[in-house]
Amino acid sequence: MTPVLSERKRIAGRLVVFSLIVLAGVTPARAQDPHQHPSSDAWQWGVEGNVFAGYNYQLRKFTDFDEIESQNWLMTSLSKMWSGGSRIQIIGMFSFEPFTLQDIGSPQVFQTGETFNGAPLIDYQHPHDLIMNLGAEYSHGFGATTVTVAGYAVGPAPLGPPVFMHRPSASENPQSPLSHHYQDSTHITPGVVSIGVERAGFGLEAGAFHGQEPDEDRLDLDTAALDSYSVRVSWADGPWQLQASSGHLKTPERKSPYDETRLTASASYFKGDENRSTTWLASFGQNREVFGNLESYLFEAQKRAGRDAFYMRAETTAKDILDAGFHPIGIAHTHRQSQVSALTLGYVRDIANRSFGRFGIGGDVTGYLVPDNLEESYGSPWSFHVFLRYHGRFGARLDHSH
Amino acid sequence: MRPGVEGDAVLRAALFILVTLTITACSGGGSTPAPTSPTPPVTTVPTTPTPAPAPPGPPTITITASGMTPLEITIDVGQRVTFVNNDVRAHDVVGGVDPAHPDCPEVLQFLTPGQRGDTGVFTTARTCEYHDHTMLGVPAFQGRIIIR
Repeated sequence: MTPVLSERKRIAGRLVVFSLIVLAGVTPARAQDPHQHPSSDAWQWGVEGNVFAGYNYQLRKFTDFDEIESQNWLMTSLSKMWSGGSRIQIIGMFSFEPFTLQDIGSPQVFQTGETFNGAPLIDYQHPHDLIMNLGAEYSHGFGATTVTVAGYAVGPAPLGPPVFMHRPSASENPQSPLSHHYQDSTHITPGVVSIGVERAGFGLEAGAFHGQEPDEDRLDLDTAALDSYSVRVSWADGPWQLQASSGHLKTPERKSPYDETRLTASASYFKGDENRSTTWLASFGQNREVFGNLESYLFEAQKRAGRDAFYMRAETTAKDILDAGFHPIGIAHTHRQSQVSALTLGYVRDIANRSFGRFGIGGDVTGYLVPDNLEESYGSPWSFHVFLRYHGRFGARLDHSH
Repeated sequence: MRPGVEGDAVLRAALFILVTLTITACSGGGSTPAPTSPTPPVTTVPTTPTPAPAPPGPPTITITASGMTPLEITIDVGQRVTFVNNDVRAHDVVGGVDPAHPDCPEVLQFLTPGQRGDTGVFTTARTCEYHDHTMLGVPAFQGRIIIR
């Protein structure tokens, strides 16, 4: 990206983010039940947003990195329910990270996935696209059975656990999991059609989508053929949610000609309400590639007690950082794997709770277990974050289940 | 101060900081460094005659975001070459013109930002091509070491 374009993006971003926050501040309080769902006959709107803004410090062996940055998303929906049991929901989700993170992304040691300037990203979390989701879902009830069809220009493929930014167990944590590209990275898939059936808590979904990760232009809409597919089975009852899913992804990495099979499974628990809750998620993801099978295991939890929230994330992930380059057809080889483990402990305290949202201040620290084959390059790194967090919601509650 | 007034003050302060931090982030206010060589130690005025200069280290190839410098280097048999990563991201230097033609096992350097690493000793006279595995096909990240 040229420096001129980058500067224009940042200026536009400043205006957009400033306008967003000012609008949030002046929006009149709407005394709507946050748990309400669309009633019949009327169109219902819903807006929800989350902003982390803070300081990221990465203690490394040779060169430390630090950055003032913001991870954020804004989700909007327009929905209507009919008395016959039908419902339509139009969804748009946006992120201003193309303007609030560096073009290369947020420094995060051992993070991988997507590219920058044609090279695989290593030690950076990519910014999300300006348009993260854009599509619609239509549901119809047949007795106790509900059938849902969905179509997205950009949206979530039925593969993996709920994406980290929508998980209650990760809602206060500004960092992406190191296992993101092994488990829940298909939440921003360019082009998705899916169908799902749900009855008595059991669900079965199948979808076709474009398997390649988003390109480096964070402001455009990627369009391409539906060349990949996935299936997910799920069960939900009270505080419990289970899912298992598998997908075949056509050339998921932009400059690699090889396909990938992904397997995931997860169990999650949420009990409580917005003021007092206990929630956790345990998940597994495996990418089966021509270079080898790469596995990840994650456990994260969050405990909220009034204004205080404690969170943690423990994960261990097999990374192929040492051979992360691209391979033309015919010269693939088994990649050297590095089993990286990370433990994050964090705390957020709400400092203001208003009708237009909650403001909190928090921080976390992450320590890593570094395998022998990365010791020379990474030593014993640490990551630190201090941040302000805003979370606001207006109108009808949005569905974060996908 | 009444609780409500105090709460509003906290909210105003939080809003101000949130907006400031976010706009600072938009303006690229981060200070991610372009890694440089380690800061040289502070020198003092010598009180004795200047010692003879230390023998030069191995020839050095520097990696930046725009490529390797120099792309071609000539060394003597028995020498090593040092690669220094002055970019803000990792690079992976591997012997051979590309992955289909592996060569020169002395060259195998995964380097994080700020890291420097020596190749093995080149024991025979020949020409070693090398490439950056993360920038395959980009000429600025392909070079050669001529051993004479």
